[in-house]
Amino acid sequence: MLAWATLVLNGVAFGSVLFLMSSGFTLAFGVMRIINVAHGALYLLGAYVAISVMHATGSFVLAAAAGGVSTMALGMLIQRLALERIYDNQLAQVLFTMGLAFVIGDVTLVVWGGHPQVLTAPAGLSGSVEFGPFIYPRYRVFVIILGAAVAAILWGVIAKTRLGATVRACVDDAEMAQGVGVHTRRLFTVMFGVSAFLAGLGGAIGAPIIGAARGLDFEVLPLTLVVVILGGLGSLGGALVGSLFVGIADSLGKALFPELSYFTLFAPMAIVLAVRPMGLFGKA
Amino acid sequence: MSISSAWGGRFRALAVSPEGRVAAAIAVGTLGLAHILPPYYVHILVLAQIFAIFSLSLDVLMGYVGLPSLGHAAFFGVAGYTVGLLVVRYGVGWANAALAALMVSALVAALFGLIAIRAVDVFFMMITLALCQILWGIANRWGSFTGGYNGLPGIARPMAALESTLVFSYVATAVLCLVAVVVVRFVRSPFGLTLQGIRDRESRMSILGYNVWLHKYATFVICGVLAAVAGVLNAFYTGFVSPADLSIRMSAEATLMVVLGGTGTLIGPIVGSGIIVGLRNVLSAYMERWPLVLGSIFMLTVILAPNGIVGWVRARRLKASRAEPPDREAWSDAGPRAPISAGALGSRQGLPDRSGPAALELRSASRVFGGLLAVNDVSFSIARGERVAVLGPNGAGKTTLFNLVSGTLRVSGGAVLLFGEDVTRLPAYRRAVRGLARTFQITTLFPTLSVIDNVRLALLGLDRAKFDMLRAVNDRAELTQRARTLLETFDLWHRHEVPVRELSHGEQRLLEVVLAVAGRPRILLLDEPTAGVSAAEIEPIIRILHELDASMTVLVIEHDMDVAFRLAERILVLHQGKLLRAGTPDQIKTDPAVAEIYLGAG
Repeated sequence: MLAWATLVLNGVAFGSVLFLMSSGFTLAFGVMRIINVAHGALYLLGAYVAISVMHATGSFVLAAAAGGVSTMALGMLIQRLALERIYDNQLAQVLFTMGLAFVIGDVTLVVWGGHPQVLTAPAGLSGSVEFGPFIYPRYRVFVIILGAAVAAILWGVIAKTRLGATVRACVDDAEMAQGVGVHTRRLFTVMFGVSAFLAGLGGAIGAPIIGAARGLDFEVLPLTLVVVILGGLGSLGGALVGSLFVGIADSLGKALFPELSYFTLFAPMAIVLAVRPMGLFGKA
Repeated sequence: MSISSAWGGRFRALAVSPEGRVAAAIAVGTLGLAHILPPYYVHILVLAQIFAIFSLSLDVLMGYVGLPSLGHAAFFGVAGYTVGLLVVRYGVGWANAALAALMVSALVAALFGLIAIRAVDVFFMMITLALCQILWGIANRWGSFTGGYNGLPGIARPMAALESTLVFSYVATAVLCLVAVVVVRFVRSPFGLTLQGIRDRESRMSILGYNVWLHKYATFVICGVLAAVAGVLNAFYTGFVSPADLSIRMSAEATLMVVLGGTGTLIGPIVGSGIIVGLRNVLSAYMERWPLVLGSIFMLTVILAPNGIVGWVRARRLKASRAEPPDREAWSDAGPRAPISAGALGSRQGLPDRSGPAALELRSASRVFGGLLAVNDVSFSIARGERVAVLGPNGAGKTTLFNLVSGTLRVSGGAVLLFGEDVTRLPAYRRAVRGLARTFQITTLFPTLSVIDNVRLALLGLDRAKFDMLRAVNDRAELTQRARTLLETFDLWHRHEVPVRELSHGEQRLLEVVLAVAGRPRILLLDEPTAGVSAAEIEPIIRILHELDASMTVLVIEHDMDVAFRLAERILVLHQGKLLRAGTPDQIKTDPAVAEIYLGAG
């Protein structure tokens, strides 16, 4: 029984990391209609940067911030230099970000080498917490709380602020939003930055659990795709539900059918697609 | 005639056909290269040929149906693994293994197609990418069966002679030529034309009677099998399969070959494969940074050469050939024109038989958009051969009403009956089969196709020949003749080779009508046939509408009251989604309620 609880909690913790990533992915899609294939590469970059900053400064807060801010800067730069030029061509955008994903992946290989690296959790977050007979790693509890906090912040910003209102307007009808005076150029740059920030932050926060290694970029990307396909593209609530589902399914699947664990993730996606092509929370 | 000369004739016919020329060019080019190049480069050549097959199959999907799969490696890899598992683990012979591989890939494509084809645009890309990743994950983690991360080595080549790279290159050349012939035939066939129609304008295709989903699905499976051919060759050539064959990079490389060479050009992917495979192997001798180079080429191509190398060359050639001013003679100046021949618009002349069930009947039809009742509880019945105009101010629900009748939209409530048959639940293409055709208010033609190909698509919609994948559509003399007769009737023949997007607005409106009447419908819906047409161009359109077969039931939306009163024997007036009045033109002209909504109270 306790073992099951551990598995499920592990799934929730992994789901938290996935939520950081997929919320960024889904926001970028909602506002700009872009499928960012480089999102996994940004995640990996964030993880590596965080590991390096942790080595250099010893500060976990600095490391996590650096992971997010570095990818955010890169994201905004890419948006301004390239994606803006091909904003009206979805296929070109997808292909461009795919090229970018290969370049980022290879650059991380040059800079950090191919060997798996793990970020050591800071002293305050290492060790375990005990609930009676149940012992669970403190860092994973922190990740779950952080995921919940980010979800709450994102929800608050989208629902309550002026920026959130313009985002909602763009998700609903980008053309109309532009027509009523939304400065889409600035909004797109900011939102792509936020999206990249969430990917990098996800990499940094996930690094003590998942680490960083060659090829991780294209391992986490499909998981993100499954999350947003399940939840519905552009839906933040869908990303949350999808992340938790995928996190838990991954954790249980790996334990129950280690060789077919990938299947336990993708089969639900195929079923959902067959029944509701727009995802559970997506709009037709 | 002796058998040999008959074969000789067939051979000559093939040799001068486009697919024959393509195959000959490939054969001469690659066989020549194979004998000139040093051995290591012959090895690269074989790989390039294998990838040319792979990317050709993707080009058909991307360029002709507009389905840019990001997981095309699925079929390449599945075929390779099937060969590997059967040959290495179970000792199956090479021919059976190859055949099994094609069948397994076809099954996988049939399954993936069911999941992916319903999605469009980015959703299709995401889903294909994710589906391919499943297979990659299985290959990677199910180590006891697939060999896991290390793959499956030790696939022997079929015959001892094939151990020679040079000899294998002959086989690869033959297979590539065969695939090229098949692909060129395929895209030039009626079926290939329907794919281009779907790429250009999916909504119009369903109205013309095509089951769009089926055409996409069939192509998806066919392209999957062609990719599997490359996968089988690759497995035998390299003697090895691994998860890399199913990886996103494999899919991405194929995509890049297509885009770099030129999407939808068929030659492009072959050029692209040569460049990418060449670069990958040559560069790997000097550096390990292939993904960096691959990614950079990707980004540069998308930004700098979105039409690819072949697309760029063709555009330049086209520019050069257009130095002289194009023939812009307007069709209305084309001189006197013969009356429409009976044959062109259907032979069922004479007085319409108005007995039997109504041509069209609506029973309490409604349609809701969010909170808006666009069509609200509308009922009416139209007899066979009747001419009816639908009037109403902007936003009255006229076009929505047409969409409900044609099946472009489903009713939220109520029923639609065609010739007494309940078609409420039938999709647009199945209503077309029952004799319904329509035009659109906003011109909805196939912009990149020529005028005659537009008409061909309209003629093929209700013809079984639309599924023909082997015979070139240009070789169907009878189809071409029917298209020609129609175009001559409408004074558009002199423009038959012009891409539709280059026609004048008036010509496009006229072609809208041509496409609608081409299939000799029993009931025709015309949505503002004269919208935005200049006064000089209106008359010919009206004249044609007057000359339509008398047995044809016609419903027309028209803003111009005079035109409406001239065309129709009965008028329906819609207002705010409801049927306000129905009556003869004289009744409607003097109706105070109608005057009020058009002129305002006063």
